Amino acid sequence: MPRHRATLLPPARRTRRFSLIPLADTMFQLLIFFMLSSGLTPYSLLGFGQVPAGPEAHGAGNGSEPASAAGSLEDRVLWRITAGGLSFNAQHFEFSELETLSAGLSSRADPVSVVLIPEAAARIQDIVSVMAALNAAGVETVQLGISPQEG
Amino acid sequence: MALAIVNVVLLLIMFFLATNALWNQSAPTEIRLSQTRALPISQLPTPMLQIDLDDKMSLDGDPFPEAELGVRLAELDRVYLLMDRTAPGRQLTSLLADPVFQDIEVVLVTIRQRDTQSAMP
Repeated sequence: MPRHRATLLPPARRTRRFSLIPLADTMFQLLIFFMLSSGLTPYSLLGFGQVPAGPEAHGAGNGSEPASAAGSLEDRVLWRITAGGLSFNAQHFEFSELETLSAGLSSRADPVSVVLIPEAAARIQDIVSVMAALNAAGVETVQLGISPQEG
Repeated sequence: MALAIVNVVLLLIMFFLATNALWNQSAPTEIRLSQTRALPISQLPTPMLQIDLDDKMSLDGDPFPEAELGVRLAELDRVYLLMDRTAPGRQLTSLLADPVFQDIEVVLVTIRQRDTQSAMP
């Protein structure tokens, strides 16, 4: 009889094996947690140096000062930064044209210095966008000024 | 096979643990830094001078009144400035015009963004 025969067989050997699958599952969950919680924020630094004190230290925008160490008046370009754009020579430009404008300055034969005057509506992001574009274009001298009305 | 996966995942966990602890120890959370695309990437440096939208100042997370700015920065050669990207630009220019910063190099901290995103506020 099959039932009686089954009882005569030796007991099956139970093999206990350590399973790594639960460990891997837990570690994947930990990995996802740390990936989401860790902030690998890529910071960038934008340096400002002080212009030596002089008659134009706070008046680089009025165009009536003597030539500075940054260059003569002929080599100096005045950009007024507004919200989301900039203006010079009575023309307004959007930030989408910033790379073209910066490339045009850097391609000049004589080195040019740029004076940036933030208008009242300009935000820090606007200043940073302009300075970073000029930096990327290779414009060596960029000055940040205050309009004479502001003092 | 599973043992190799566990090893790799363990290494990744260690990496994210270490980078999170080292890089984000004093990262600002309540301030939206300006975004750039062209500048090289660097780690968050110290000392950090944070100026909020309401002109509240703190140096490396320690708040102080504006009148103590000169005292706090007296022995520093360089300070890393954290300002909100929506703050008025003249807040930055007036700050840089302060005589306190005459002999201190000021470095504005920004966030490098991907090329696919725009750099607008």
